[in-house]
Amino acid sequence: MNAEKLFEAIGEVDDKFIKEAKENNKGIIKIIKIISLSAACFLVFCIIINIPNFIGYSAEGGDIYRNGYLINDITLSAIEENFEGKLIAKNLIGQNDFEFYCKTEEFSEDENTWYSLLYSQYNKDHNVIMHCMFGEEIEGWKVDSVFTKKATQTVSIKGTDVDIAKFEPSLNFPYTYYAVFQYDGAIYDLRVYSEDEDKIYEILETLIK
Amino acid sequence: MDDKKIIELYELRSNKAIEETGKKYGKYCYTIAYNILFNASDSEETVNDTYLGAWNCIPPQYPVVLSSFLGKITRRLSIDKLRKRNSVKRGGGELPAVISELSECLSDEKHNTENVVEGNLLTEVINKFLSSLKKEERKVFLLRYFYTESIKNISKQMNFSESKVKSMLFRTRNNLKNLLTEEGFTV
Repeated sequence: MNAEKLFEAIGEVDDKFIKEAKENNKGIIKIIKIISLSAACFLVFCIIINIPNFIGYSAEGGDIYRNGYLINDITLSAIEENFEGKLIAKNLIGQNDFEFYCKTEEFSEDENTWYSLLYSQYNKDHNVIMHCMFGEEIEGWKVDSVFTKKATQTVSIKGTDVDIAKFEPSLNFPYTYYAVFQYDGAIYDLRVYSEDEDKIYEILETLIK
Repeated sequence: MDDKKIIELYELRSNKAIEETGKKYGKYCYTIAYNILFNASDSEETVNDTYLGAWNCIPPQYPVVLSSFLGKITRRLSIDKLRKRNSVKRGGGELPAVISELSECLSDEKHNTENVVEGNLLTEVINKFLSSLKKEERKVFLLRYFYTESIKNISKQMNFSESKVKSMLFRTRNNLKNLLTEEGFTV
C-alpha cells in the first residue's frame, strides 16, 4: 500500500463525515460569534439598566444606595429640625412607593452633615426624581441654574414661581420636564420623565401646599 | 434549493438540475478540485465533469448527502486529471505535502498489499478509525486529507492555532498507523 492508495481510500469514507468536516465549522464559529455578541449585548444591557443604582438614583425596592441612605418620615422630621425649615418633599410621603435618601459629598450616617435629599419614584407611565437642597451649604446657590436658563416658561403654583423646561427623550420616556423653584429656604430640582406634560403640574400641586 | 428537489430534477432529467447544483455546490466542488489541481482552468473543467458525473449517476443512484456525493466525484476526477499530467508533484498546491504526510502512516517495509487488501476494506477501516476519533480531530483529519486544505486554512476554519492543527494531525496519523497495523494491513 502506498500513500496515494491511502489518499484515495480516504476519498471514499462515509458521507456523513465528509459533510460534518466542511459544513459545521463555520456554523460553530458563527454560533460562538453570536453567543459572544449576545453576551456582550447582555452585559451592556445589564450595565445600562443598573446605571441608576450606580449614579445614586434609587430603583424599585432598593434600600441602600451608593451615595445615599434610605430615610423614613421620622428621619425627615429630624432633618427639617436641623435645617430649621420645612421640606415640602415630605408632602409626597405616603404616595405610592416614594423613597427618599440623603446625599452628602461623602456619605455619612450623621444626619447633621446632610444637605441634599433625593426623592425618586418609578412608575409605568412616568418617573420622578427630585433633589431638595437645603442647609448652610446651599447658601449662595442660585435658582437660575442651567435648567432655568433654558426654561420655556415660569408659572406660579400657589404663589411660588416655578421655572419649567422641556427636554428631549430620556430614560425611555419621550420627554423630560424640569421644574426648578425655591421654597422655604430650600431649592428644588424636580424632573419628571413622561409623555404627559400635565404630570409635572399634578406633582407640583401635590408638593406645594 | 433543497437537496431533495435538486435530486428530483436529476431524476426528471431536467437541465435545471445542473444549474441548481452549480449554484449551490459550484464553489464547494471548485475548492476541492483547486486544492488538488492548483490550476483554475483545470479546476473549472473538473467541476463541469462533476456535474456530468452526477447527471450520469442520478438515477440510478440517489445520494443521501448530495454535497459529499459531489465532493467525492470531484475528488476522484481531480486525482484522475492530476495523474494524466503524469506527475503528482506537478500538481503543486497542498497535494504533495498531503501525500508525503500520509506516507508516515506506512512503514519502511515495501510489502505490496494491494493484491491482498481491497480499497473498500481499507475505506471500512478508515471509517471505523474516524468513528473512534473526537469530532474536532475527525474534522481536522478530513479537512486535511479529504479536502486537501492547507494547515493555515484549517486553523482558520477550526479557530485553532496552526501548531495545534499540526500536532492533532501528527497524533491522528500515528493512531491510524497503529490501527492499520492492528487490522492486519502491512503498512
